Amino acid sequence: MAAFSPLTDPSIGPSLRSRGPFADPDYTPEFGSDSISESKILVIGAGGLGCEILKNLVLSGFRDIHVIDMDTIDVSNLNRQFLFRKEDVGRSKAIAASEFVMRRIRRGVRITPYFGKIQDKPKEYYRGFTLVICGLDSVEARRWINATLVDLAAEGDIVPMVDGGTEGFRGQTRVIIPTISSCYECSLDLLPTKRTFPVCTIANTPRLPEHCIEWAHQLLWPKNFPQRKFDADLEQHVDWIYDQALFRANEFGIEGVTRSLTLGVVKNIVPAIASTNAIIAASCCNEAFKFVTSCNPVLDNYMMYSGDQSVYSYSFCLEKKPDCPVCGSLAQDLTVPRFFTLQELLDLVAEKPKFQLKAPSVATSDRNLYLRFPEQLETLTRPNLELKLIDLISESEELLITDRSLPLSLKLRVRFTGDSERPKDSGNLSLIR
Amino acid sequence: MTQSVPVATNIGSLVAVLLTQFEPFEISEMDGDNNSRYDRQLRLWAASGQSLLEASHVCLINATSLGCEALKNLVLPDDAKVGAMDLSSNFFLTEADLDCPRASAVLRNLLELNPNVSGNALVCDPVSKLSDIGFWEGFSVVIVCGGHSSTVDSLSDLLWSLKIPFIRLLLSGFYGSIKVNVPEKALTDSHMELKGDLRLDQPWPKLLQHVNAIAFEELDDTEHAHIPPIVIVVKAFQKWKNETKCFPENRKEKEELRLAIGSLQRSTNEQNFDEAVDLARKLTNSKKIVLPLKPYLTMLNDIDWNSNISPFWFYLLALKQFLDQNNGLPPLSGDLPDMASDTKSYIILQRLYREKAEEDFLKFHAILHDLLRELEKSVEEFTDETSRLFCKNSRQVIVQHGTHHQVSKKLENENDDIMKAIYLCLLATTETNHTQKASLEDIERFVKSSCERYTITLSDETLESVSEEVIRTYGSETANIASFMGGIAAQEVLKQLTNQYVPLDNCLVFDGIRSVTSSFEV
Repeated sequence: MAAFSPLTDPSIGPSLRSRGPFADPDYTPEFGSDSISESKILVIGAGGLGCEILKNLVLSGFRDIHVIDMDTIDVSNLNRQFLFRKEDVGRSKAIAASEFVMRRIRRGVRITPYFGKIQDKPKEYYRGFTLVICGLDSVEARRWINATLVDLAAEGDIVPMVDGGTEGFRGQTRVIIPTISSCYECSLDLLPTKRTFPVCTIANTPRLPEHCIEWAHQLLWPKNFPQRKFDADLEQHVDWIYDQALFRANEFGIEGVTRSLTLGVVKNIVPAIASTNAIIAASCCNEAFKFVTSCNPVLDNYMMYSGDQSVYSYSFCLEKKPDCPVCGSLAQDLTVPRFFTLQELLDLVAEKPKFQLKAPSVATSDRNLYLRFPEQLETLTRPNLELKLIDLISESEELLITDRSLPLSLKLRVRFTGDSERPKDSGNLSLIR
Repeated sequence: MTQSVPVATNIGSLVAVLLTQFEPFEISEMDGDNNSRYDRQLRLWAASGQSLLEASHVCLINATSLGCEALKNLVLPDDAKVGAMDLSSNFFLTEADLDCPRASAVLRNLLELNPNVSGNALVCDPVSKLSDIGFWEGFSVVIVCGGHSSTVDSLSDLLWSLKIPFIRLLLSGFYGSIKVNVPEKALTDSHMELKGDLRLDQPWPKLLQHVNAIAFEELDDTEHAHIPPIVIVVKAFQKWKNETKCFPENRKEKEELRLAIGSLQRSTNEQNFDEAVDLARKLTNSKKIVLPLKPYLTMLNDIDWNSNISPFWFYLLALKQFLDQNNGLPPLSGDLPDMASDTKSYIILQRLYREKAEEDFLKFHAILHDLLRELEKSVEEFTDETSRLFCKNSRQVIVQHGTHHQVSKKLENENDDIMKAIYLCLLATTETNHTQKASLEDIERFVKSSCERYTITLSDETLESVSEEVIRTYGSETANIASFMGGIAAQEVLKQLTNQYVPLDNCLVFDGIRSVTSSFEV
């Protein structure tokens, strides 16, 4: 086996061994070649996008690749996650993918798998990478790695993140240079919100098959099995929901409850096809290649792709938000009614698309208002939840909100408006937890 | 074709291709392994799309990959041997394959992906197959990667005459292009998001009767808060029409109608009335809706019905008669969106819409079959399923007219000069044959003569940079760009084979340096 050399490689060599007409004037082939050979890349996710990303990175000349995934292989992955075979069902995705790629491409590439969560690793672990590529299907995981990388950048170590995502025929690629370009959190409110149904529709006036399924899933299951958590991966659980939903649908004369729809609703399944993953993963790896080698300019900083109505893509620069809870320094203004309790403020922070902090703790610059951990402090601060906000803080006082699941802190400046008495019919209607 | 011709060796999408394929599929609830395996894609194109994929045959020429979702038989006519370039950029070749016939080696490694796909590797020069029409007739789609222009053009002409979709891919360094050659195609299942055809201004008798029977003032508060918004708008509009004798056209009139609806609201908690106001805002005059098919209706007079024309024209003729008999109103789709309402009222309304849609379909179906009899056309091609689809979606059916040439005056409509230059430079690389590598001068000469011939403007500066980039990376295929283009090709094959969604019409260029794409008609 001949030693691999980026400059003489027939596929990437021509792009690297001369300076192209669109490249930075300072580019040199030695720089491009050395950078790619010495780089250390982290791939987060070894699923549909991850499999493609690993393959592309290896063929693009990267030598030292690490991959993290907490999932095991399921049979429904086999239609697009091409590094897995039927025999692999049940194995770790990270390990199986690494083995396959190393077996196929024997040019001394080292792929180091980790079967577990990204949160298992300390901040120091992430400091050592040249670049991180995410092929994830979880918003929470993206927020976590984004906040961690911004944290590192604040300490002077910039590790860029290339993030890919797909749904059906559509997808997007973005390049995040922490603290320099906009970060993932800056655009949190751009995410499409999950389709939800009001509880009163589900409970009283179902019209769609989905309403019947959610009734069985959200209301009936907890009532019938208070001790057992619903698990969408267990066939018996899904079957039970399906039977109940079907019964209710028949009762109301609603058509269209099927097992496939039931599974789609309870698992919130996003349709996925191999070709879209191929496109987005390729675009992510192309940006990673250009970034590491400097052989051509890098996407600044967002490209969306859609292939269902002809083929259309749009690349643009998403601006940084000065009051972003992760990469901004400014506090955000939030106006709430005078009658709001601390609990209601926390509910709002959990619901609002631009915050989405599900387990928040709150403090001012000199006192704790509500802390979730440790237990003693939780007990001590819990009575505050029922108190009116206006009695706890002064107007325009800055609140610091943290969430144990995310390394970020949201600065809020609360202003009050309206009556201090709660209007009669408002109740807790607007905020269903 | 031989080795020195630039060949796209995409990886990603060939994967896409084979993994979608599987053995005969049953339309049942997903209970077995196979249904689970394809669960994520069935949610996009359903069992009907999947069975079309299953029955298809895709031909890939001169390449080691490129996506086509679903093929029963994969045929790779290719006489190249596996070389260093292939090993460097193709995931489906290993060092053990060096100097083996490329087609066979790739096929072996690809079929391993999905045990349910079958394929043939043909180690031959496609030129020798050009006269063998029977060979080509068996394919649903043919894909060519790279290749010399003279061969590809002959093949393109042949496939065009056989009405077989043909996809041509070109690649160099960070650039790629895809051209889709498909003769006239009517898209009946485009999955387009459409404004509902609820007929709020043109209720049919049964709907009107239903609405009239509901006396708002006699309802208690709970019932009142659950009247379906559609009922509210139909009622309010009827009243408006009786008083003003007109359709609310301008802003002022529309505002008046909305106020009229708002005045019926008993409390601000009545969400159904809020929705009714929204619905009224989007109220369109059903008689003024312009069908995308309208321009074709006028072409019906010039059709020679005895010639070999596609079923589309017969459907169109039936639609025209339907419109003539129904005050210009197309068949109702029957779909009812969700709305604030109690269950019973909603179900009643849903049934009214479905019954009307079924009634319209039966009418359309009768017209169609009368016509077919009259024109002595066999009914075989006109299954209930396809007739239903056309009828239900007739308001949104669009027609695409493909082309099979590579360059035309229309290229001038593309605003981005760099994209024009990339496309023409990529085409220029197919002009040289394997005995000589194109020079910078060759490429620029070809581009300039094309620009002159088709009156396309292109600045010298742009051409200089782009051609320099192309010559710098000439013949090299990187995994990333190949995978990107292959993925797009896979999606196009999917759309062609399932007859769902809207295909590319008809050319796309990718600039991987600036990370942008442009699509345009050639």
